[in-house]
Amino acid sequence: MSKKLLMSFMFLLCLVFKVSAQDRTISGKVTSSEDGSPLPGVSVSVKGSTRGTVTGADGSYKIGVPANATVNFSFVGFKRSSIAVSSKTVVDVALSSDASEIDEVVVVGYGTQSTKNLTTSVARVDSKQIANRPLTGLDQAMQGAAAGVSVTNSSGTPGGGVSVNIRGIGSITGSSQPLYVVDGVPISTGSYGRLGFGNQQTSALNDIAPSDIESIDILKDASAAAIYGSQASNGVVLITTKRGKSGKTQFTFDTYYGVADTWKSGTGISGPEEVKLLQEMLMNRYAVPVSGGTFTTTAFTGTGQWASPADFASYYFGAGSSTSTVNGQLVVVESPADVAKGIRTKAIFNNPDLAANTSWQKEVFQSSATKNYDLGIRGGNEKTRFSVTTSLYDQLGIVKGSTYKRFSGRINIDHTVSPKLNIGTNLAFSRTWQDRINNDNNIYGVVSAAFLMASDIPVRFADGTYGKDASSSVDNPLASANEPYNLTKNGRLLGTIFGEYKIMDGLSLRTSLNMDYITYVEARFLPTTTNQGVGVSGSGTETASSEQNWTWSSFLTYSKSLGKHNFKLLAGADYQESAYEAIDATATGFPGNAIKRLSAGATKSDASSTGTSWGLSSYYTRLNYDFNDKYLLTAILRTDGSSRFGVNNRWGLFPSVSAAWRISKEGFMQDVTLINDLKLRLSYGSNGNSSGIGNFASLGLSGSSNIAYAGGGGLAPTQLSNPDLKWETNTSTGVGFDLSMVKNRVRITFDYYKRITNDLLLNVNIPATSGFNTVAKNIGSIENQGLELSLGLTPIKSKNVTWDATLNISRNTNKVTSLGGSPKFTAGFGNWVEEGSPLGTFRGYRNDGIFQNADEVAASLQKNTAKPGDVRYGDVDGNGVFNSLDQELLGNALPDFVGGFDNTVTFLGGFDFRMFFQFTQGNTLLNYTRFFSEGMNGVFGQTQGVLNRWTPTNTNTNVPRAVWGDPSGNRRVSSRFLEDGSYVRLKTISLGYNLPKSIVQKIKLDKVRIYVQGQNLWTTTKYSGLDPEVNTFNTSNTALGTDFLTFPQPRTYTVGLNIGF
Amino acid sequence: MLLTFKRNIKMLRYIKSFKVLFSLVLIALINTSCEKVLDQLPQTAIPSEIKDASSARASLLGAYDALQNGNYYGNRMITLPDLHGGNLRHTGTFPSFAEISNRAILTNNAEVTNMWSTLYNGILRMNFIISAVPNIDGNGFPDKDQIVAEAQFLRALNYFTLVKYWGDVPIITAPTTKADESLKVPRNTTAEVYKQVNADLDAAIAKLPANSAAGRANKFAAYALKSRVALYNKEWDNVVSNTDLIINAKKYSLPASYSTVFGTKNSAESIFELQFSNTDQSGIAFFMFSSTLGGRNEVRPSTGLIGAYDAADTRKMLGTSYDVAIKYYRIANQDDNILVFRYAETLLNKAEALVEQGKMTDALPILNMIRVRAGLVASPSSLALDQPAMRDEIFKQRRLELALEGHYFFDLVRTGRAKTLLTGWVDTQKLLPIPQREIEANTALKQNDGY
Repeated sequence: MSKKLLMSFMFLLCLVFKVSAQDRTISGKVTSSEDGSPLPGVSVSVKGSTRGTVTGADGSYKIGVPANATVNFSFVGFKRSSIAVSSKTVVDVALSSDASEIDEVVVVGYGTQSTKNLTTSVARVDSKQIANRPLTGLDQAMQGAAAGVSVTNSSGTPGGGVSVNIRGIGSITGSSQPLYVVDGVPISTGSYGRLGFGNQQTSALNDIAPSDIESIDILKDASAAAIYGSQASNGVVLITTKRGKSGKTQFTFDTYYGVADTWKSGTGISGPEEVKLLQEMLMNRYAVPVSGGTFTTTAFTGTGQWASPADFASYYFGAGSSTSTVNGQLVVVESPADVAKGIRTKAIFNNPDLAANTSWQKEVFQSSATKNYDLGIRGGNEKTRFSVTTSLYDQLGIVKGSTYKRFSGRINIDHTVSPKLNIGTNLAFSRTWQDRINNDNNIYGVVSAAFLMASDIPVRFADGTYGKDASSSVDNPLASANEPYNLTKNGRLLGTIFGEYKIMDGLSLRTSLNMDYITYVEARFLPTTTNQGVGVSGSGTETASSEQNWTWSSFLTYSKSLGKHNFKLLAGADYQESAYEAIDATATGFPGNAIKRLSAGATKSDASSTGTSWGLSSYYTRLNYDFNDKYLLTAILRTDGSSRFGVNNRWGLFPSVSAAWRISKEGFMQDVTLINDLKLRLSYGSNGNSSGIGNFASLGLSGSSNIAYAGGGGLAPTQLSNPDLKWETNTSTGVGFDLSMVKNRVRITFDYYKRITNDLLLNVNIPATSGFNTVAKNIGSIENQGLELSLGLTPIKSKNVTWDATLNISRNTNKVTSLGGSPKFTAGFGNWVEEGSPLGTFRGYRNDGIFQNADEVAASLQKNTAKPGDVRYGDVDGNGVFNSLDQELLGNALPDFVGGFDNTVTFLGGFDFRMFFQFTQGNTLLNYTRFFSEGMNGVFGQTQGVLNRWTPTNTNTNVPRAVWGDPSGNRRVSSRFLEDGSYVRLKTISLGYNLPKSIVQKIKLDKVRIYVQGQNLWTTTKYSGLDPEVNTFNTSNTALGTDFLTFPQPRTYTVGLNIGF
Repeated sequence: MLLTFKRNIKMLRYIKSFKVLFSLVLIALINTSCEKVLDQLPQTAIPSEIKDASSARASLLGAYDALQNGNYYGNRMITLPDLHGGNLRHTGTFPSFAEISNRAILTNNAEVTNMWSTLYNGILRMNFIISAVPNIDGNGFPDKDQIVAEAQFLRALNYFTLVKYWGDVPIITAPTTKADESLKVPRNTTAEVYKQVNADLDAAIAKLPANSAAGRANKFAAYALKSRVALYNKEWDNVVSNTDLIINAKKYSLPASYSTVFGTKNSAESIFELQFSNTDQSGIAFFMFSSTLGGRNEVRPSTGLIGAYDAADTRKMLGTSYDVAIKYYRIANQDDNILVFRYAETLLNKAEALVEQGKMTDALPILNMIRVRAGLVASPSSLALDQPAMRDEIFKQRRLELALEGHYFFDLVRTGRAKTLLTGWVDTQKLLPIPQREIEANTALKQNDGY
C-alpha cells in the first residue's frame, strides 16, 4: 500500500519538469577575503529564480542570468554576499568569514544536510580524529568521540571485534550493532571466520582503511536513522571516503611506526608458591600428613576425587609414578621420566623452592611493531576528479603468534559529462592476512594457557621439548603461540558505479549499483608439537567462504523554495540481496609437520559445504521543510520487505517526524549577542530490526547437517515454524538543543531520548521436552533512556595559540520491560535476563564471608560440604535450603556514564598537541579469569590474589582456603568475582610539528608534519585483570562485561610523518 | 539562430539521456521483478515432513544419530555415570563435571541441562517417525513397519535413560509442531514411564527382524533392553526370560579375548553397537587421554577402579595415561564405537536375576564365563552357597566388565550400595535435578527432592 503511494509520488515529481530560458552568461572567481585563496564549492544562485551553480576548484563559476539580476554567493563559514550584476560580465567576489554562524554539512543518508538545518541528532567524527592513530578499524575511531555512542573493544586481538552500541542495547536475540553505510552503500559487517579460536572474532569492518575516511556521521536517533528503515534500529554509521578535487594533483604520504606492549602483566604467583599452594589444596581436602613424600593410608577413604594415595601420587608426581608401602606408610615412587623432566619430583615436593619459576604471562607477551603507510593522489579538472589511495597496515600483536596485515586501495572517480550529468565510481579493494591464535575460553589459548599453566612448569624441559603438565588440560602457552599455523586471508571488493542527472533546477536523480564482495580463506595446521595435533598425527583444516551482497539504489531529490518556504523532497527505491557460501575440509594423519596442505593428510576426516541468502526490498521518501531557516521539519516514511519473515509479515512500515526551532533566528533574540545560535529539536521515529536472527527463522525445518548414521544421510527436525515472525520495532522520541555562544567559543549540545523496542525478536526458551530448546518469537520489550551532553569550548583563541576542548558524556539506562511471559534466562557466565532488570545484569550467590570455625559451619546450611575457610553463602530465599535458587542480582555490566574528553592545541604556528581521554563509569566486570586463577582447586596456574587466602592464621580475608576439587563450591559466581570496571584512559596523546612553509617549499613540498603519539599510555582503574576494556562475548546483547582469559589492549608509542606535495 | 539550434540539439540529447536514466528508475520501481530478492530458500534444510519411504529412512537414521550426540552415548552417557559413581575422577576444567564428581550438582549444571534436552530431542525425532510413517503408503516400502519398530525401540531406550536419571519425567509421544502452552506438561510417574517403555518395546519386538545391519537394532537389542529394564525393576523372572531369548538364539557369544570386544568393531558379542566414524566422532577418547597425548584430560579412570582389578585381569585399564587399547583408545580418528548392549551384560543380567531368585548354582557358571574370559580363574562352586558373596561378586564383575559403559552409578543406586560405597551419600543424590532452565520454561514441573 505504502509502496504504491511512494511510486505515485515519484511520478508527481516528474511532472514538474520544465526548462527555463537564460539571457546571458556571467563568470568570475570567488576568493576568501582573508588570504585571497580560491573558494571551491561556493553556491552561486540568481535571486528570485531557481538557477544556481557551484564554483570549481579554482573558485571560478559561470552562470546564466536575466537582465538586472542579483546573484547570491553563499558558502559555509562565510558571510553571504549579494551582488547586483547590472551589465557586468565578470563578477569577482571576495567572501569574508562568518564567525557568528558555524555550519558544516553532514551526511544524513541519501544526501547531505547542513547542521544548522538538522532536526535530528547526528554526531560527526572527522578525519582529524581518525587519521594517524594506530587503529585497525573505523569503529575504534568512534570510541569516546561522540555522546551516546558506546564502543567496547572486545579484546586487544589484532584485527579483532569491537562492539558498538548507539543509545543502548535495544535487542536480545537480534543484532544491537549499527548499520554501516560507506558512500551510500550498506556494507557487510561482523565475523566471517569459520574456524573456532575461542571467543574472539574477526571483523569485516577492518577491511576499510581508516586513512581513506573523510568523515563518519552517526545517525543516533530513530528519526534520523529512519531513512534506513528496517536496518536502522541500532543507529546508522555513515562513512564518507575522501574524493578528488579539481586543481593541482596533490600527493600525500603518511606513515607511522609504533611499538606496542602490554601495560600490565606478571600477575601470576611464583613456581615455589604454586607448589606450596598445591600441597595446601591436597592437605585441606585429604588431610594428608606430608613429610618426606610419605602419607598415611587412613587419609584416603571415600571414592571421590582421590580414592587412594596411589591415586594422588600418580596424579601429583606425573605419569608412571606409583606408591609402595614402607612400614605401613605409602611412599611415592617417582618415574624416571618425570625425574628427568624435573617437574613435581619428590625433591621439589619436599623443598618447593627447587621448583621452576616461569612467568608465563611474560613469556607470551612481546613488544611488537605496528607500521602503516598511506599514499594518496588526488586531483582532476572541471570534468573529472579522482582520488587514488593505497595503504599498508602491518601490526604484530602484543601476544606472540598474532598478527594483522592489511593492504588496501581505493579509486574514487567523479566525471562531469555535462552540467546535468555526473557519473562516477568508487572502487575499494583490500586484502588482509591475519595470524590468529586460540584465545579466551579455550584450553589451547595463548593468554588462556599463560594464566592456566602453573608457574612450576618450565618453558622447556631439559631435552628441549616444550614443558608440559600431563596433569593439566592446557597446552604449553608458547607452543600454543608458536607452533600452530592459523592464517586467515580475506579479500574484499567494495564497488559502486553511479550516475546523477539533474533533470531540471532543483530536481535530480541518482542511481547506483553497488557490490560488496567478501572472500575468506582460512588455513590451519596443528603440528604434533601441540596437544591438539599430537593425538591425530597433525591436523589440518581449510575453509573457503564468500559473500556477495549487491544493492541497487535509485532516488529522486527535488528542492523548491516558495518565498520563505523551502522544501526538499526525496523518494527512492533500494533492492539488496546477499548470498553466502562456504566449503570446509579437514585432514589428519600427516607425514610430519612440514607439509601443511590437506593433500598430505592420510585421513580426510571432514568435508562440508553450506550456503544461505537473504534479500531486502525498500521504498522510501523524505521531506525537509523549513520556513525562513527558522522552523524546520523533516518527515520520513520507509517501507521494507525482508525475505527473513513469513509472507504474512514480510513488509514493515517505518515513519518518522522531527522538527526544530531556531530560537536564535527570532527577532527577540537578535539583541542577545551572547548567543550565536540556539536550536531546539524534537523527534519521533520508528524503525525495525531483522538482523541477528537466522535467514529462515520463520520456517519449520528439517536439517541434515552432521545428521548421518552408519554411512547413511539422516534427517531430523531442527526448527519450529513461526509464520507470524516479524520485525522487531524500535520507537524513539527525543528532545534536544544546540547552543552556541560567546562568539561560538562555547558550544553545547544536549539530548534526551527514550527508545522502546517492542515485539522483540527473541529465541524464547521453550520446554526442552518438546525436542526444541528455543523458538524465534516476537515477544517482549526493552526500554533505553538517556541523556547526552556534548560541550565544546575554545578557551584560548589567539594569534599564536588555539585550544579547543570537547567533552562528551552520556548516560543510558536500560531495562527489559517485558519478556511477554517467556522464561527468564541466563547468559554468558553470570549474566541474567529478566523483566524489570537491565540487560547485562549479573546474578549469583550472596557471599557472606568466610567460615571461620567448625561451629559456624555446623550451624550453616552448608554443613555437609563446607569446612572452615570456605565461602559462606546466604540463604537468599530464606527457605532453609541452600541451592541454586539462592541467587540474587549482584550488579550490572552496563556503565552509568561513558564519555570522552578531547583537547587540541595548536601553537607557535607549526605545533599541534592532542590529548584525548576516554572513560567509563559505574560498570561491573565479572572477572571470570579468577574463577580459575584464584580457584585454588587444581593444578592450574594461580594469580596473586591467592596469596591472601584464608588459613587458620590468616583469617581476616575474603579469599577462601585452598582446597583440591573445591567440594564446597567456593567458585560460584558471587560478589567475590565481580569488580568495578570503571576506568579513565588516556587514549591518545600526540604532539606534531608542521615544518615552516619556507623550509618545506625549499625541498619542493607543500607540507611536512612530524609527530609522536601514544595510545593507551595511562589508565586508572580498580580492575584487577589485565585490562578493563574487555568482553569475552564480543557483540553479545546479553552476555556482557565478562573477562575470561582475554587478550588485553596494547599500549602503543608511535612516531609518524605526513608529507604533502 | 544557429546558437539556439545547437542548444536545442544539446537539450534534446540531455532529454534523451534523461529518458534513459529515468526509465531505468521506473523499471526499478514498477517492475516487481526486483522484489524477487525476497524469495529466498534454505539450502541446507527442507520443510519438516516425512512423506515417503526415502524421508522415512533418512529420518530413522536421524533418530539413531540422536544417540551419537556428545550429551548422550557420544560421550556423557558413558563418562558421567562412571564419574558420578567414582570409576572416573575429574581431572579437567569443566565445573559441571566437577559438580557431578563431587555429587554437589546445581540445578543449572550444563551437563544435566544438555542431557535432558538431547534425550527429548531424540524423542522428538522418534515421535515424528512413529506418528508419520504409518500413514505412508506401504507400496514399495517393505521396511515400513520395521522403521516404526526401530523408532519405538529407540524411544524406549531414551525414556529408560530419562527415568533412570530423573525418576518421574513427562511422557511425550507426539511430535511437536508448534510452540504454545500445550508444551507445559507435568511429570508422569516412574511407573507410567516404565509402562511406556515396555509398551514401546513390546510393539517393537513384534516387528523387529532377527537380523539387522551393523548399528541397527534388531529383536535381540529389544530383548536386551527389556532385560535391563526388568533388572532395574527387580522383575527377576522377566530378566531371565528376556536374557534367555538372546542366549538360546545362539546368535551371540563371548569372544575369547576381552580386547576383541572393543578392538574389533561389531564383534560376536555386539548386540547393539552405535557406529562411529572419523566424520562422526565420539568424544570419549579425547576426554580421557592426557593432554600430552592429544586428549583434554577431563576425566581418567580412578585408582579405585584400577585397584579393583586383579593383576591378571585383562580388562584392567591404566589410570595415569589412558592410552592402552582397552575401550576407547582411537584418539586419532575418535571413531570408537559405543556398545549399548553386549552379550556379557546379558549374561550378567541373567546371573544377577538367578542369584536373586536363589538359583546360585545356575548363576555361577554364567558368572565364571565372564571371569574366565577376563583371564581370571573360575570362582569355586562353594561361592554358590553364599548369596551375599554371590551378590558382591556379581556387582564387582559388573563394575569391572562394564566399566566406562554407563552402568556404574545406576548399579550403585539400584542395588542400594551407594549408601555404603559412596562417602557422604544422601538418598536424594540418586536422581539428578530437573534442569533449572526447564523449570523456568515449564511451570508445571516440580523439582526433585534435595535440589
